[in-house]
Amino acid sequence: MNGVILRRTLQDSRYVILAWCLGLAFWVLLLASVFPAIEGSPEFNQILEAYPPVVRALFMSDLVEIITPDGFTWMEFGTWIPMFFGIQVVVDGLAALAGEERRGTLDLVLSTPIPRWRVVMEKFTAICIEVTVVILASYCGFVAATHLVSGYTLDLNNTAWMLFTMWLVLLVMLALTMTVSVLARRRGTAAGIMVGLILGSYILNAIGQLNQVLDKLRPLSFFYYYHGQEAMMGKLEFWGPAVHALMIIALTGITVVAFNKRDLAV
Amino acid sequence: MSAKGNDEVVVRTYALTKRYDSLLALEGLDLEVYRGEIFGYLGPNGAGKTTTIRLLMDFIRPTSGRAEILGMDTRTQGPEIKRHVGYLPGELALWGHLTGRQTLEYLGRLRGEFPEGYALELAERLGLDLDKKVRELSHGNRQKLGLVQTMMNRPELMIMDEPTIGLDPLVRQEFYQMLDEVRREGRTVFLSSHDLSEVERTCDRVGILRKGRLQSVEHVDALKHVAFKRMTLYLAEPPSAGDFEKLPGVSDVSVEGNVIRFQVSGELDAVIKEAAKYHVIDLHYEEPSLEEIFLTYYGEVPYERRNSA
Repeated sequence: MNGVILRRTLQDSRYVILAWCLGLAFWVLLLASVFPAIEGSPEFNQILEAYPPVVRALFMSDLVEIITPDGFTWMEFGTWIPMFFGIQVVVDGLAALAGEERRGTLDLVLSTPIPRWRVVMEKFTAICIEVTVVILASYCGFVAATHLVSGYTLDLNNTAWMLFTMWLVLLVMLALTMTVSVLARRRGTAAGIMVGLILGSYILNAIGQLNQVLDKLRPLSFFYYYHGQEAMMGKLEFWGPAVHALMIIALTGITVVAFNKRDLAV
Repeated sequence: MSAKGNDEVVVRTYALTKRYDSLLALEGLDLEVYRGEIFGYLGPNGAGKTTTIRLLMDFIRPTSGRAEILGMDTRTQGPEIKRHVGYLPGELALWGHLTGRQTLEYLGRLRGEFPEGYALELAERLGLDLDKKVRELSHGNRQKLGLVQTMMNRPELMIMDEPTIGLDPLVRQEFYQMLDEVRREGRTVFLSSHDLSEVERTCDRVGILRKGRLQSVEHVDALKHVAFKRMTLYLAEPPSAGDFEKLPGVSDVSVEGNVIRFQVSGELDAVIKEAAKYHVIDLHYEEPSLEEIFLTYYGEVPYERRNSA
């Protein structure tokens, strides 16, 4: 891998990466600064417990207490940031191959001696780096927050493990987006499928807990293997990340093979 | 054998066929392009020119048949082939946020080397400002950038799809000179066009494609005899149709009052001399489209069937 496409992709997205790093680090500091007001109000826990089970399930908050630093961090960061930042990852994943193909610039890239598999791998690696940098920036935000805000005593090991599981979920989204974009061939179609897959996967995992039939289908959801909540509670589980890692490898393999076999769009 | 007597084949296709569902885009193409020649690939829109080029570049895969470039299979040795090939797409798409120089650097590095000196020389000859962002460039200047990236690594083979679209006449002349230099260096060009006069000016041989089938492979001189022009003379007095009908190369004569219309192929000397017998008020002269030439001379009969007849 000579890294020319990787460097170009990173260079093109440097401002987006910077914006996400600053935005999420700022969000973490904001959460920490708000936390003391929550900590002293046990009624928040009662409010949370008063929610219908379906709402609690949608927020993946069945184990935590919101008035603890770990619980609050999970509720306000761990549950919805994968969806929020996931939008950026899906947009980047769609732009990587389907976007370049639709614009026609992929023709020029592939008119050089770069094999197709390398285009896929360099684009994938570049967005992986983007996700990694943003997750690390978030972690730096948490480290800074625990030192700057008294009372916000977060277990940084648990937080790191939670961020690691989040990083894997985001990479699954990325790998899935690239696979879908290669198989669907049209960027708009791929975007629609991805929205359906992510929302469907999230809702299936959340609502499935409340329904015996759907519960059996939950393993089909990639959120089923996202154990960030458990990580924040200090329960380290390795099988979820292992399944995510296998999904990333398998999906990337499918992308490489499918992209290598098919015609480029005119 | 090529026009220059060199029989080293650079591009060779074997019954190359591409079908999209019910559409047969290219059927049984057998073609040879020799080292050191400029091969024109002619045909109206939708004839299969771009399909052929995309098959050669391995952007799309043949339904059947195969192609070789420099003796290597386009399907299995694509990256190795592309070390020796420069490519200009028909609908050139570039990265709008990059400058011309950044575009060339990026593509040069993808090829393993950015020959900055030669790229700058080419840009200067074509009058291209490399410091502007691509999104700020006119269509013609983007096309110039496309030409520079195609030629800058001095590839053994250049595959160009409609290379002069959007170029002004002066730049075209400079590009034609560049092609002459490429030919002198023994490198090969495969270019598609629907501009007959451009092909006459630049190419050694032409392949003529229609409805996905190769109709003819000709030396350019032969094509000049095939091509005809449509002429209309506005005269001060009614002309005699018969006087024009008997002239060599003249056909399809019609007279309406003081206006005479006809088709003429080959030299114009006799027509001009006959017209000079009249008081000529105006003269219109137009080249037919390739589609008209095909219908007039080739009809619906494909190349291989006419040759075997």
